Amino acid sequence: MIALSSLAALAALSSPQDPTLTEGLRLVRELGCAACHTAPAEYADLIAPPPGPDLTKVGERILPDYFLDYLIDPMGHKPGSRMPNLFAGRDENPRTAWSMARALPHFLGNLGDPIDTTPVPTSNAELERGRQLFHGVGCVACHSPLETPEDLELPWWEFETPPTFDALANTPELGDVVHLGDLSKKTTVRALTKFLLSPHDARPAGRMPDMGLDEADAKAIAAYLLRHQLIESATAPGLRYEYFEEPGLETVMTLDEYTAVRTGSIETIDKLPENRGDNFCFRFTGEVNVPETGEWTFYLKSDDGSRLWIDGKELIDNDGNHAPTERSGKRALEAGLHSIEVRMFERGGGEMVELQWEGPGVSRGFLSPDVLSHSSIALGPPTSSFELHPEAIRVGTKTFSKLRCFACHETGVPHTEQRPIPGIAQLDISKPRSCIGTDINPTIPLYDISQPEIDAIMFAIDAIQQGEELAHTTGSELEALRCTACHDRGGVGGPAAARRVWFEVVGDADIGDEGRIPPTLEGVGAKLRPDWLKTVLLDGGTARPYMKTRMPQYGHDLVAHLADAFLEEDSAGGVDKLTEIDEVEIGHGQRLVGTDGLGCINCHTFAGHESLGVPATDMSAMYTRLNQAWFHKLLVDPVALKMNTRMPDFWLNGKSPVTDIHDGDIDKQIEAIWSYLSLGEAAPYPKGLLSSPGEFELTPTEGPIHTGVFMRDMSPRTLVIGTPQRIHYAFDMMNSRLGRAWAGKYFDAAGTWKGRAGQLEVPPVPWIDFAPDAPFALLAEETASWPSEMGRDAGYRSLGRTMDESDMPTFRYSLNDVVIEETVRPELRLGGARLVRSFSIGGQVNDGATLYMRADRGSIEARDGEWLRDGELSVQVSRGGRALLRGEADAAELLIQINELPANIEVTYTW
Amino acid sequence: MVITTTLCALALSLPAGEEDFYEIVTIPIPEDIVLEVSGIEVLKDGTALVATRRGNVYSVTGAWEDDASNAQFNLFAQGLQEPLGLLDHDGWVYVMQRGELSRMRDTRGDGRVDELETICDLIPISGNYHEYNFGPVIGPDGNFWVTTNKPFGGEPFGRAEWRGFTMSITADGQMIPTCSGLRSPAGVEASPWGDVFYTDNQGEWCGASKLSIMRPGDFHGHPHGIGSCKNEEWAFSIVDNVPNGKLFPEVKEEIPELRMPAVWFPYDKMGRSPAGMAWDMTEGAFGPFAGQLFVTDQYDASVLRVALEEVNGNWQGACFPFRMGLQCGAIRCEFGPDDSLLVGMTNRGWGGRGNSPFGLQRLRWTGETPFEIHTMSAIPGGFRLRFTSEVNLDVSAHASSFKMKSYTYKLHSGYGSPEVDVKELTVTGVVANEDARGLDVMVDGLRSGYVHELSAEGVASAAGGSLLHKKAYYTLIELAE
Repeated sequence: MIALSSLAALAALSSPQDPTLTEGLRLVRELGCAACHTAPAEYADLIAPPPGPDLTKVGERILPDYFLDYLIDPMGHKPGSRMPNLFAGRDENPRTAWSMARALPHFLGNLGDPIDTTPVPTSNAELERGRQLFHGVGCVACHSPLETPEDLELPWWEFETPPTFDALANTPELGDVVHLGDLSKKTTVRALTKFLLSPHDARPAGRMPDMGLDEADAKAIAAYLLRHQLIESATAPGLRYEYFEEPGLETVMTLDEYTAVRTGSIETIDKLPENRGDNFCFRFTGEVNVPETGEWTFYLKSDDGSRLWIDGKELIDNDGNHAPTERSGKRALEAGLHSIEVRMFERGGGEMVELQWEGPGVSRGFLSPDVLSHSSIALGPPTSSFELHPEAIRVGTKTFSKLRCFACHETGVPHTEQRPIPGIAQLDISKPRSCIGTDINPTIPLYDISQPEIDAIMFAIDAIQQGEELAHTTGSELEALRCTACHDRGGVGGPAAARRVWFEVVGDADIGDEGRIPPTLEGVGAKLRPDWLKTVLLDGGTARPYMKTRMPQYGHDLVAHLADAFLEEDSAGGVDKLTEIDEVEIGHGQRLVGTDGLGCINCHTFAGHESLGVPATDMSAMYTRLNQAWFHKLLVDPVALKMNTRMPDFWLNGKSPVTDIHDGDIDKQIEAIWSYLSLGEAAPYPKGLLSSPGEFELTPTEGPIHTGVFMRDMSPRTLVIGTPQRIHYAFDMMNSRLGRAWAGKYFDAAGTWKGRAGQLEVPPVPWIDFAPDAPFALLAEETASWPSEMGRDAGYRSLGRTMDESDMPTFRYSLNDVVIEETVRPELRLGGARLVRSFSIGGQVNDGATLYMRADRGSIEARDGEWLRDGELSVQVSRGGRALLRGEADAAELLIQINELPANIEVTYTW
Repeated sequence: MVITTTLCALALSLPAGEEDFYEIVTIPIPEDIVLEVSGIEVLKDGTALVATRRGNVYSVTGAWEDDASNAQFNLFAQGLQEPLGLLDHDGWVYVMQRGELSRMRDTRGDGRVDELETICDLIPISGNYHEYNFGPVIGPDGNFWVTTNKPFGGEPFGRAEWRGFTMSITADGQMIPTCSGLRSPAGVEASPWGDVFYTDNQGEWCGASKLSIMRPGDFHGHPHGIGSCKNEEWAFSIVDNVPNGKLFPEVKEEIPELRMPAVWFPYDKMGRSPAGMAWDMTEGAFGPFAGQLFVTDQYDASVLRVALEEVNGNWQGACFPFRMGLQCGAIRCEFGPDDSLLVGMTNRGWGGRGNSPFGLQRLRWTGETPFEIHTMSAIPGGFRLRFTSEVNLDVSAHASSFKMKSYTYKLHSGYGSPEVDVKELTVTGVVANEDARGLDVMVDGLRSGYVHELSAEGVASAAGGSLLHKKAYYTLIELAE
């Protein structure tokens, strides 16, 4: 058994080591020279070779056809690979070389169970997730990115021709690239998933780290990397569905973040596949065959929300939490196949979804299964005629031994080769060399290295032979483990400039490069507490949830000693002065951290609670993570420690702006903060972190309150009006329409006023929705359908508003040449709420059209001079115009025909 | 209650501080008002209108007294959506909201707005918090000029066009896209000579915060919104393929539309987040800097000073520290009828110096003239420094009294740029101006497209004092001939 490489040979040298020597030592170690050429005992640790991939079960993870391809040209497959070419001299001695090479796949393929090549089902969504993960979590710090950040903004399926981007791999600006080779020929989704979940099993050298993926993530990445194995099955009738279970749904737009519990196909979507009743969602995908070119209208009805996309473009938005509601959309479509996607979600109560259409020659009705089709996709390797041959296995076993492959690779099979090879001490470095030179000889490994590298190796071997005092630096270790792909230290490392664009923040955190580029390791031994440093290296400790790139894990044996090496090199930051709890200091610290102090929580998360601004590192973890001296230094002058940091320096002329704590003394205040932070998660909350109850609660008492908000499912320009009568409404300024009304509590503005805010608001209590779309329309005839456009698209213009003495607004808007003034007033009544909408309408209607106001829409029945929607909202046309009810079922419309202008109409809503 | 902060030097032996020349007067805000200032306009009758991020506008009277403790706040308007600028024009108060440019007035005379008209609601927003709109000011074409911020993160109502632009809006509401490539253009101000300038905040594609002139067709560096230029409303050449990682002056060679800044504000040395601006038109009543520009910094709780000059048809110049120690992030400023500078503040969502959540203060000249570099101008082979008073030539007129280095910034997708291509420059000689109030500092190796950072450590006034601020940062775009 080959022992894990010990990288522990970090010693403090009396004088700095020649960089060429350092590089030579690194190469001797990384190329595994000592695997064949025994090292002198005193250098054994120093140049102990990292183990090559463990081949014990290699037959389970590598396709048999790949072995021979790879073995006869490893550098061709993976330039820069440490794997030498063992058949470099085959042209000189073809018979021997080929017979040896051809037997090896049989031996290797026989190790472990046969590889499972059954195709693995996948989905576009999974490929897309894998694509985003591969480019996001840090894979591309070492491997070549396959797509540009701009292309990654578009989902996979929206490309006409899926981008290959193999060209990116050869961009020199990307710097050092760890090549993946042709994975589609090498392995399967199953095997690659298993590898990604636990890379150290197959590659104990740890250069490929454990990225902390869960099984779904690992499979998604594997699927994306093996996308060339895509098999499109024959098309099937109906649609494919994916079923997700998720609590607390409010929209179908979050569905991309979930993993399907089940997939399958279904003839039409009007009867939902099996589900758990509440808290689930579906995605239906496939193609619709449009029989004739022309205008097609789709009707989507659901409980709760749903949306429809045709050709990847949204046609109907019926999203949100609601009772059965129908919406429609119209589009001109050519005859033929169009992609279709429907999503629906159900949070609680009843659930349903129905899709209907109408168009040339087709009257309104459900889409029949024969116009719907879908293809299912799977990933599987190309078929192979390779068969294990017992004789070849026997030959291969011997060959493996003879070529000394065992020196680097574990197989679990005993080897027989006894041929002596000179140790490092015995090598005559003045003679022509084969394995690292040009003297090509079959069966002697040939490494892919350059002349300067050869020179460095010779230099190192010479030094070993001379018995010089040698050591690795942390720098060369960080390079070996490729820590330098993400982190810099000693002026070396950090992502190559051209790669930095792939390092991103999670979501929309606006914290600059500190939020997306992994931190420097310069002085990290002085910055972090030893325990925390070890937690990061060995136990997956992280402090930056906003960073997409993940800190991988390398395993104890490889990195445990690094923590000590950092501490020693950076002469760690001293001992905490804090020995006991001082309640007065803690109180000072608490105030300084809060908004009536220095306001640290304006940016920093605290004990898991969001800051008022960006999500900078959690303060309650700082005491566990940081050395006091470093913390102190950072606070005194942040930019001196971190150029371009957004961490403020608070002080003015050597004083704190908080003058009543320690007389504004900076050092003492920082120490007070440290005392406070020593309480960790248990620290009492600083002021401003949690909004005090009612801090943003608005309650109109003397007059109306007007508040501009982003209103969910309405518009980013919504004005909510709260009245002392406690009946409130939301008016969409963008589309000049009354959207919602509710009674009781007005509104808590925290989402609009706290911190950076920008939340989508909803009323605090159940509300009524007014008829969707535009309130007025000019129709050519009474039966013409109500336009689905709103706002400017429908000919509307917002003109503004006027306020009466009590500050109640009248909204002014126009529709073509018609000018409308709308006032919405609450009216008191027994046991319920009532709103009166008064319209004063002027201007003119052009010939051939009639102006209608749509007072309501839904399941409406007429009753004693009023109309009742869904049995709960009664509508009365209290003044002006002829009211008419048209349409049926859930899509009935209550219209008011306006024949003459000017006109005054009034509609009363009671609920 | 009187909260007049008069910070005097305690004894004559102490070196002079900013507070000796510009004192801060705090205007107390009633406890029930959250005055997260977002806009200030001083009306002709002296009333200050103060808009807040929460959507209210207050009319403030009595703010200009020596003792501001009797200032009155009355609600003037409510329900505006993030109003980030006010303009008194033609008998109306124009206001830039998130979604529209509107104008409003009080026709009843009860102190409350009763009429609000939509001028233009063509600037789209996606529902992202960062899509702020700033302005308006009157541009050189006589239209309303406004700037639009770009989003950060989710765009719940779908991507909005025209983010990161300057828009010129006609009185009848037509929208003319005018400049592209803005990032976070928090301040916009018309100069006394008609050109409009804006401030932008350091971040991606904005290597350092800056003040830039805006001319139609300009590209200011940020590629976020340039896709919108493909719409027919864009009447100028289309910039695409912005290289990532080249130096600003190099990109200028490739993209002629790129507007070089008039002034870069080096990070942390000159604040971090420049915002509102006001030109000193007090003709000396605010001290010796008549005609210069004052810029508030939303991080630094400070006001910076800028002196511009026109060299070969290009506006450029230097920035100087001016006054620190305000309550918190200073976002807007405006001169008042008493010739003091009214500064409005908020730190909501963006941390910075100072420990108040919001505030309103005045900067008032004490009548004492600080010994300062008054202007720094480009001359062939160097810079002319003019001082606020006579210089002790024996002490000051030596090359060793000065140090200069120059650097520029990268135009890249990274967040802010370090100072790059830094060069220490040799001061080859110093020539005194005839009136002894100026020194010509001659330097080897001036570079166009670079900040020239001056340290005037060795300069003393004829009266024996040292400079109140020894640093100046000149953004050299056009070399003087």
